[in-house]
Amino acid sequence: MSTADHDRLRDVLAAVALGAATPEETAEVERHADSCPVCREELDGLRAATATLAAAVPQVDPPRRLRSRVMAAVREEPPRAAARRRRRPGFLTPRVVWPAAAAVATAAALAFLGWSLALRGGQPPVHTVELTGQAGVRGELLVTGDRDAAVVRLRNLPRLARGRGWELWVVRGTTPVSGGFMTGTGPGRASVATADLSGATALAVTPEPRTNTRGPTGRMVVVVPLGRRG
Amino acid sequence: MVSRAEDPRRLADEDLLALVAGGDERAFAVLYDRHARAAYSLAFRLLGDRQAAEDLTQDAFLAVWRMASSYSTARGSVRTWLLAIVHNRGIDRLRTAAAQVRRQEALEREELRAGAAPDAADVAIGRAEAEEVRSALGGLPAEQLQVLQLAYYGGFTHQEISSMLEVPLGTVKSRMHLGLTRIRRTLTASGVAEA
Repeated sequence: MSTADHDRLRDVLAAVALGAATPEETAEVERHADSCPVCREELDGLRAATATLAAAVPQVDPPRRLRSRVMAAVREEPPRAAARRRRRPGFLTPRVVWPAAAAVATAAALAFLGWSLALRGGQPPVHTVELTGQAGVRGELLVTGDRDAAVVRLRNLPRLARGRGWELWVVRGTTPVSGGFMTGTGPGRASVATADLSGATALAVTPEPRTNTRGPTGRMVVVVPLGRRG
Repeated sequence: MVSRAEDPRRLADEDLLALVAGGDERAFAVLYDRHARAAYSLAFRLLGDRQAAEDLTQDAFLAVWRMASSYSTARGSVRTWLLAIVHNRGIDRLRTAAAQVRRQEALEREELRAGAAPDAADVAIGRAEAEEVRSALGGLPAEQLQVLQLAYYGGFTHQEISSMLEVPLGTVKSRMHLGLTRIRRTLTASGVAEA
């Protein structure tokens, strides 16, 4: 996809988020966002903003009969296919990734298991890594195959005091460099896009004062070993 | 492991949905009890008719039942997902021919009066959330709020809004983008992190 196409689709992201674009535009934007982490991050953020519009309507109690109707309709549905989802043990247990080395190895294993490849329309492939962080923080890393760009999305983030935010660190060897502060996409949710991961060995996120750029001072909520490029 | 013996009311939405994907009616009922009011309220705001709002709410919850296994946490909370289903299906209905007259009436009654932010006192959600909504929408310039309301609540496309307001399509898209981006920034400023 050309830069001109990318710019044209960026123009219509808000309309897509609002459901106000044509079906063709919406389909095109969705296809593009599947292979463009920058547009995906933007689209998800704009959709999170529309949730405010959904919450802004006067609240009206549904009639009690509606609950009975819905439950009756569900019982009339055909039984589930055999593929019942079973959770892996420990799914509900908060998992601590930082700082033990063993926990980092867990994250590496998750990263290895979580790589999925999406090849679309000549774009660089995008890998998705599921992230499990400290104290129930979860999320994912989207990274282009050529490591030109990455998006980190987290959820279940604890609340921070005013003036503090979640800061991304791009670690090369033992040196962390700020990748910028994450942008809120909803309660407990944030995302950040970063470019140039060349030579990066890990990504990490810490709570920091908004003025901080020198180095991490807070405890990491998530750390993602990147491994060697290849 | 989430067992069926566990009281589903103690579980988070995402965990309930995993049980729903396995056909657990109790978990589904808990999700209904948590979110039916928000879903019905949005449906009523979109369609302006109680019976139509009931039908839309039922459709949306049935969709949740059927599609529970396809839910991805990446795209937002369970509540956001449910409300997006209500909204998508709601605007599909708004766009049917029979709804055009009602839309026109609603439009004349309300949506073209630019800049009327919702009265937060009327928004009976949590106090913190109401404050967030008030600051997010109340701070928008009138012309941006108008375009967002026509699109989101009215179900009008950017092209329709361009025609009815007699402003260029590019201006409509730009107002949509500026308005949503400003809301997004307000969410960030109020704390990424309100659990």
